[in-house]
Amino acid sequence: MNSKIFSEALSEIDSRYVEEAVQYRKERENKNTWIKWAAAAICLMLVFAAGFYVADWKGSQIKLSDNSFHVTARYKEREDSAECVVCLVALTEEELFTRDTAAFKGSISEIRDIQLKFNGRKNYCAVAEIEVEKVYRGSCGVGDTVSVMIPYLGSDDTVSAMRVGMTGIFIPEVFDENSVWEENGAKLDRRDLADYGFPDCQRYAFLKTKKRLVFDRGAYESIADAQELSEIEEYVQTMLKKLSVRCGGQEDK
Amino acid sequence: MEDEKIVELFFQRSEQAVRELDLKYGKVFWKISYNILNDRQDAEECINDAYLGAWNAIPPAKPDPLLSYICKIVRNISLKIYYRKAAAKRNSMYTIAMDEIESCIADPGTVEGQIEARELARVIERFLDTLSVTDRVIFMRRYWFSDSCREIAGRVGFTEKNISVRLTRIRKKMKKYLAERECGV
Repeated sequence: MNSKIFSEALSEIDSRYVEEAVQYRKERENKNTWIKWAAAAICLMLVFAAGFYVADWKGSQIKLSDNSFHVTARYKEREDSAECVVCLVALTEEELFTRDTAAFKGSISEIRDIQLKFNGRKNYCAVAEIEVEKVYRGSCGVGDTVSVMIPYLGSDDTVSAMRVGMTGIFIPEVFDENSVWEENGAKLDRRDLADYGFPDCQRYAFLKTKKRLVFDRGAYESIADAQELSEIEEYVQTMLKKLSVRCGGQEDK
Repeated sequence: MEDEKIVELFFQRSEQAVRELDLKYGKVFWKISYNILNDRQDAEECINDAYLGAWNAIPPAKPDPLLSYICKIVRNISLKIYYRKAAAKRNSMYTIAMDEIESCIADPGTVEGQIEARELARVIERFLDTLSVTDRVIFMRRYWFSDSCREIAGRVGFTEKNISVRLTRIRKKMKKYLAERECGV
C-alpha cells in the first residue's frame, strides 16, 4: 500500500465521517455559546461595577497643573446652601462689553459642580460645557464645545437658571495666565478647570428657558423688555459693532 | 438556503441551485481543493468541474447530507488533477499530509498483495470507529481535508503542538491496526 491508495480509500469512506468532521466545530460552538454569553455578561457587570467604584473614589478628582498649588478640585455636588459672596461692580452696558470676553450663542450640554479645597478650606464653583452655535466675538468656532466656569450657583441669579439642553447667548471672560483664584494661601489657575469664566453670575448670560427669557434686565436697561433670544442677538451684534467702530475694528485680541 | 431546497432546485434544473450551493459552501469546497492543489486557478477550475458533476448527478441522486456529498466530488476531482500535474506535488498541504501517512504505511512498492482502495476504506472505517470523536475529527481534518495542524487546533480548541502529538499517536495506532489486519503495511 502507498499513500495514493490510502488517499483513494479515504475518498471511499462513508459520508458520515466527513459530515462529522465538517460539523464538529459548530457543535462545540453551540454547546459553549450560552456559557460564553453568560461569562461575557458577568464580566461586563464586573467591569461596570468596578468603573462606578473607581469613578466615585478616584475618577472625580480633577488633575491640576503646576500653576495651581495647595489646592485640590473634584467633581462633587455642593452640600450646603450657597451665599452670595460676589459684590457686583457697577458697569455700564458698554463697559460690560469692553472686558476681554468672547460672545457666542450655544446650548448647554453639561453642568458639573466642583468642590475646591484651598489648603483644606472648602469652596465651590461649577463648570458648564456649551456647544457653540454662533460666534459674535472671540476665537472659538461653531461646533466647538467650550467650558465656562461659574463662580457659584446662588438661588436667584441668572446662571442658577442654567439647565442642560438650554440655549442662550453667553459673554464669558477669556482665561489667561492672570486668571487665578487665591485663597487661604493656596492658588488655583482657573484655566485648569475651564477655558472661560463668567465674571459674575448675573450679567454675562442670556438664557432662553421654557417659560421666559432670563437675564439681568437691570444691567441691560436698553433691552429690559426683550422676550426673545433673537432680540438679544441683535443687541449683542449692535453693541459689538459699535465698539468695533470705536476701536477701529480691533476688538479681537 | 436549506440543503433540501438546494437539492430541490437541482431537481427543477434551475441554475440557481449551483449559485445557492456556491454561496453556502463555496468556501469549504475551495479550501479542500486548494489544500490539495496549492494553486488558485486549478482549485477554481476543479470546483467548477465539481458543480458540473453535481449537476449531472442530481437527479437521480438525492444526496443527504449535501455538503459531504459535494465535498467528496471536489476532493476526487482535485486528486485526479493533483496526480496528473507533477508541479502540484510540491508544497501543498495534501503533499505534507500524505508524506506523514507514507512514513506510517509505506511498503517497498510490491504489486502483489496490494489492497483494493474500496476494501481498505472499510478497514479504515472500522479503525476510525475505535477512535474518540475528537481524534477521529483530527484524523479526518488532517488526511481527508488536508488541513494544517494550526487550522485543526483552532477548530478543536487544542494547541498546534497538541494536535501534532495526537496525530503521531493516531498514526502509530493505525499502523498497528492495519498490520494486524494484514493490509500491506
